[in-house]
Parts: sequence; C-alpha cells; structure tokens
Amino acid sequence: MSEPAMPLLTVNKLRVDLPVDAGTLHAVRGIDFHVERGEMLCLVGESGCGKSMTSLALMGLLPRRARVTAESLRFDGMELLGLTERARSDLRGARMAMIFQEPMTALNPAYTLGNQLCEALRRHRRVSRGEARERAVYLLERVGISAAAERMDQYPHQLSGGLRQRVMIAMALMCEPDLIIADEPTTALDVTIQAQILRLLRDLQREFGTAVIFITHDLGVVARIADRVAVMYAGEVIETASAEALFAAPSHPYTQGLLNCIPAPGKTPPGSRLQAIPGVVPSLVGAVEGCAFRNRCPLAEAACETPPPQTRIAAGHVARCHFATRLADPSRQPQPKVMS
Amino acid sequence: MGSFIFKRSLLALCVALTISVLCFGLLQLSGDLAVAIGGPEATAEQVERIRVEYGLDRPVVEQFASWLWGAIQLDFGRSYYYQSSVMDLVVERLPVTMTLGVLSLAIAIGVSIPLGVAAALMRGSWVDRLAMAIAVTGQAMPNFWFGLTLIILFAVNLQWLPAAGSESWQGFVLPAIALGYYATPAMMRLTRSGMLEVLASDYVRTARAKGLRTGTVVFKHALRNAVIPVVALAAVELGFMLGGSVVIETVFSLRGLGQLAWNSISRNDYPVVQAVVLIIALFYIVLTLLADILNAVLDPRLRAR
Repeated sequence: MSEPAMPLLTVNKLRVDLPVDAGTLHAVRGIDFHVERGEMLCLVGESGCGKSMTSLALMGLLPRRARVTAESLRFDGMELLGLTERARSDLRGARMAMIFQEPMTALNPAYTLGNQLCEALRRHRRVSRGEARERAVYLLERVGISAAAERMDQYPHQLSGGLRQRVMIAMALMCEPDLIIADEPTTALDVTIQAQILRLLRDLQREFGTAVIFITHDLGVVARIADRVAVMYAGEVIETASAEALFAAPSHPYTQGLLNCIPAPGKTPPGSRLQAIPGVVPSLVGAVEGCAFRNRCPLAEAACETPPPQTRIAAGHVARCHFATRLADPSRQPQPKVMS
Repeated sequence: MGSFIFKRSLLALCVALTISVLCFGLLQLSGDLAVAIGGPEATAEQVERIRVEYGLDRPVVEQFASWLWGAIQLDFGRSYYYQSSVMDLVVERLPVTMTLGVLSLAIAIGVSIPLGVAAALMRGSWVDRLAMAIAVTGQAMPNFWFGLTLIILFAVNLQWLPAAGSESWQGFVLPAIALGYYATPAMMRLTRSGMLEVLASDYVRTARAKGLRTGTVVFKHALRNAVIPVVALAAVELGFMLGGSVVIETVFSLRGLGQLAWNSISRNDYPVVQAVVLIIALFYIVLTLLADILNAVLDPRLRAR
C-alpha cells in the first residue's frame, strides 16, 4: 500500500498546562499541525498565544513543572512522548535545533564562539576537534560572517546583535538537523538586519532542505518567507493554510483582523487609521468555554458559545470558526453587526 | 590583559600607601606613646629619656618617613617587648597564620560551592533547606564560641584532636573548621543565588537546546558564570580570615600573627602592632588584586575595560 510521504513532524492534540497561583494556565489547548520535510511553516500569533510554549514543548525544554500532554508528537516516525530525557537530548541539537529571540543573551559570555559552535557537533558526532572547527568556520562563512576563522576565537560581547544571531543560525546548522525551530529570531534586531537574517534563513532552509518552524507575530514576515501558516490564538491553532491561501482568503475573523492591522502601501489611504482588534485576549487560567475569540469578534453570535468546528475550506486550508465557509467566500462576506 | 593588570597594580599601590598613612596615624592618635611605654610608675625624666631614645621627639612627618622607608625595606624596627627585630617575629609567626587561612578557605570553598550548586539545582528540596540551615547557623554563631564548642566536643570529650598548639597538622584541624565555617554562609548563598540566576538564563537554555549533557550544562555553562562573584568574595574572605584569625588563634593558642597582634596590643608593643596591621592590610590588597585578575580570566567582558 503506497502512502503519501509522511510529514516530518505531526502534532496531535498538544496541550501545555502550567500551574500558577490562581490555578492552572492552559497555555496550549490541544493543537494540531504538521510540518513537511524541507518546508517553512510560520506559527503566527500575538504574545501569550502559546506559540513559544509550543516550540519549547516540541524541543522538550519546558521547565519540569509544566505538564505536556498530547495524543501524539511524531517526529520522523518516532513518538517523542514518553522518550527519556536522555533520548530527547540525543535529538536536540542533532535532529531538531532551535534559534532564540534574544541573540544578545543566548550565547554564553564566558566561552569563545568556536567553543560554543563545536561543542554541539562534538556532543552528537564522533568528530575530531579539527573537523568540528572546520565545519564551524565553514558555517560561519555560510551565514555571511567575514573573517570567520578569526571570529572563532572571539567572545560574544565582541559581536553585534545581528552577527550573534548569524552565529546562532550557524550553531543550529552544525549537525545538519531535519528541523529548526526559530522563535522570533528577528524581533530583537534592527529592521535592516531583520531583512538580511530573514533572507539568510530562507536561503539556507532551501539549500540544506531543512524544515523550519518560524514563530512570529509579524504577518509581514510571514508574507516574505512562509510556505504554510498556522495562526494561533489563545492557545489554539485557529487557521492553517498555505501562505497564498491565507492572504487570499483568510477564513477566521481573527486572521482577518490581523491582516487589517497591516498597512498596505497604495491601498491604505495615507492618514487613515489602521484597524486594531478591540478587546483583550481571554485569561487562559481555568477552562475556556466556546470560541475563545468571541468577546473580540465582530461576528459573535449565540452559536459562538459552543466550541467552533474545524472547517475545511480547501485542501490544506482549515479554519476553526462557525462562519468559516462564509468568511472564505468574499461574495458571501457576513456583515458585522454594528457595535453600540 | 597586560594593561589591565598594570592599571590594577597601580591602584593597589595607591591603596597600600594610604593604608600605611592611616596605620601610622591611628597609633599617633592613641595618646602619648612615651607615657604608655614608660608605664604608670615612670618619672617625668624617664618618660623624656624614652621619648628621645625611641625618636618620639622628632616631628611626626619625619617619624613617618623613616618608618615608611624602613617598612619598604621590610625593616619594622625592634619590638619594645621582645627586644628583637619585628620582622623576625613576623616571619616566625606568618606560616602559622597562612596555613590556617588557606586551610580555612579550602574548607569554606569545598563546602559552600557544592552545597550552593546542589541547593540551586534542588531548589525547595530538603538539600536546599539543609543548606539554608547551615548558612543561618554559621552566620548566627560567633566563631570563638563555635571554636570552644569544637574543643569541648572533639578535644575534651572525644579526644580525637588536640585542643591547642600548632606543632602538628592535627592542631590546625579544629581552628580551620571554626574559621572556615565562618566564611561558608556568604559564599554558599552567593553560589546558590548566582546558580539560580544563571540556570534561568538564555544561554543555559541554548546549551540545553544543543542537547548537551546535564553535567556539561550545569558545570561548564552555568557554574563557570555563577562562580565569578564567588571568586571575588573568596579573596576578601581570605583577607578577613588572616585578620580575623586574631580571635581563633587566641582560642586555640596558635602562635600566629593574630596572637602576636593581640598580645602586642596589650603590651603596648607599637612597632609590632603597626607591622602586623600593615602586613595584613597588604595581604588584603594583594588578594583583591588577584581576585580582580582571576575575575578577568573568568569573564572575558572584564578584560576589555
């Protein structure tokens, strides 16, 4: 029986619960998504929506007090749930690597770049010091660092934020992982540097055929790099689609709201107000009933008190909204009721 | 790195000079030395004779200059009490104090760093609480009292170790424990809080994201950074222990610098007091300098300054 190629990563009903003073914080509430080999999946959402928690859960880097449960977390045919810490650490850095948001603090100030680059490789592969160093220099050059051999003996404080993030990318690539999780890797950088790093990540991802989960709150970034997009809101994935489909036919009111927040040169009249989504994200401490977005949604109705169904819009395009089918079709756009 | 050491050394020299002035000045403030040396029954002529004999009739600045010139050549004059060179007395006593100080520091480091690391790794567990209890007890107990307790327990009751004397290594065990325990709480707490901070840092998360073994993460990535302030504290503590051994040396009858200073104060033996104070202060300065250099070795960011 011939099956379609298995996705690299399949996440099924992933939940992350954190004990807090007021009860239990349901940071991630049963999300499903998958990542194909070699693709760039953008995980989008505002802060606190659970996207970083999701990435840390996949890496197995959450603090011990966090409770991670799922129906399955399959990585290259292997079930990650129930693996020992030792087995997880064999995967980390070797087959799944991570790039963090803050390049200024993500490198150890006490060791040279060379030391920190090589240790990842030498932990997972039987290579000599010289071979590890060779690969580190090669990758530093590949991520666009000049005088790479001299940089190997420098310390993090001698580098700018943009350079440090390039080092982090090189470090993630040391063992040629199948999957890189990049958690807002450009958020802390200057705008011009952001563009360079995005391009670099996109180029390397294609060249090495690495799958990337790119976490961001910025739909502008998504438009530039994503193959597919998963939009998160309040601990749930509310819409999944290819990048084109998402921008062409956003089928969840939250996604539409996010898109309306982006100024479009030539479309948004100068001086006009950008639309912000009114209201605040509901508290995720304790149970959330029905649709989590309904208190901010212009379309909210009585039906929204019940959990919204997973609605299939097209192949590979799913939205979690009672009105998803209507929203997807521009000719049948429902009229938002006038808020008094 | 070279210019860093040079700058720090220059600074240390200035501090040393200031201390020598203070050290000399304080003694001048303690009253008429000739009267003190002569004792309560000395006649006015006898006091006058002492004044001339010891050079106390000369202007203060001249006295200071000649004392400092001697001190630079390691000549601190003669002891009033022993009638021998002060330097000989110091050289005889110094090894005892140094041995005690280094042993105490070794005990303090050996207990406080592993305990601090364990407490941070197992925050809130019984290990953490035990470490806290040890720290609080150590801070609350006066060290002479702890020393006496050790003597009663291990020397008098159990008779495992001698209660006094510096003739054999056994004589150093109890005083080193008493003095080392004194330095443990601060170093243990600093290690623990430093580890807690560093373990929550982004670069430790990066280290874990690379799949490094727990041991590598804890010792290579976390402890190396957490221990930097502890090194500075350890140097200060050693200085403290060299000076603070006055009490412990007296309790355990160790013939060290501390005991010499204590006896010389009660005998009005001013050249000895001056010399011991200056030498201990100089140790302090050298240790601080060493700590600065060691810090710069451990933390590459400091070298740039």
